Amino acid sequence: MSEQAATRGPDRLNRAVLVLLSLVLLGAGGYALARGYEAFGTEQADEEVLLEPVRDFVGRNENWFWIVVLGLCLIVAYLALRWLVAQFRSPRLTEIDLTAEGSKGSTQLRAAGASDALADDIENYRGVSSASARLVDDGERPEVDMRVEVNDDADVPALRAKIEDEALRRFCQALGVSSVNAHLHLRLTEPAPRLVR
Amino acid sequence: MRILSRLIALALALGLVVGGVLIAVEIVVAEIGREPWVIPYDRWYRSARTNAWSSPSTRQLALVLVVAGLLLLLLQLARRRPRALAMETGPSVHSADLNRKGIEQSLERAVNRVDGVSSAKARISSSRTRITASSGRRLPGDLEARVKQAAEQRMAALKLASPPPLSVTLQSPGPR
Repeated sequence: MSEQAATRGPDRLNRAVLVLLSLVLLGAGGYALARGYEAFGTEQADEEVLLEPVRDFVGRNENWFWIVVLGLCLIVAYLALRWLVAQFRSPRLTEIDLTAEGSKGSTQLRAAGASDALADDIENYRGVSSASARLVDDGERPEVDMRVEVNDDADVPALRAKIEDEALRRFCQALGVSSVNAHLHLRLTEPAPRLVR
Repeated sequence: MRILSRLIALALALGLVVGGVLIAVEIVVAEIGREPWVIPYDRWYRSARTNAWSSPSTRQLALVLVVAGLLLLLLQLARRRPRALAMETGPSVHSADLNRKGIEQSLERAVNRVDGVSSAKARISSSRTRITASSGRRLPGDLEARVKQAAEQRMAALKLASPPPLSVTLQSPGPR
């Protein structure tokens, strides 16, 4: 799963489907308006909406026509169901398989535990006001998605380097992997209050 | 707008699921010789046989379709402000971005610290960053340049991959 897919949810899919549906609505409505306002001639405008050739065609092919319509309706319903599910689906991982190759047993790590440890690690850095992390399943290997609130007076590039060089390295060691794909989402917040003694 | 799009997507997806299943059921119900179950297709059939393309009800329905399609299309094609701005990649193999709202607030804080500025507003779009600063000074002098410098310095410190160019507007009472 790409970074955008992991963070934006179904926005891209929604956009594509909604553009398609809007074009279908525009096409159908535009054609009906044009025909109704005699763009194709008075005779066509005065014809009944359910055209005779259509009725004839359905009548001639009744034995298979409604089966095809039924099939199409179920396909549309299935695709729409997938679209509906995509609105709620989270690519969040629940467990990571740490089983070594050739091992007889299996080792599973609770993903929330690993990501919480990473977030705690990051929260200890100076300039960080809060942090959260989650492991996302991209289908091939896990990705880690981090959200970090940073005080406005912090050195943001330095903090980013520290997170990548230290926290992520420790995280990889804990998982027993050489590297992970990581996405860091930073948000600047109010500067940390200064203590006056 | 993203939330509105999601709500519309949710409603349409639900409608298509229910509609698709209902039509399939109605076909089966009609096949076994029963009356329409939920969809009054017999009434729709009669209406489609009696109404012409030029009849007011057909035109109204067509107009509704066009307006709905147009609104939906405009909603999807409207330019949205970025949710986050990517940071420079540099030697890193990981991606990083900064939340847009946070950058705007950071710029406002930086500009508010400039001597002579009473309030500031920052707005980032996909193509530019607009800073609107207000000052009570009647003769602001080089205040606009200092505001721009403060905003540029703050933006540069964030190491964004492609920071939108800055434009500054200074609002002041002007000379008497």
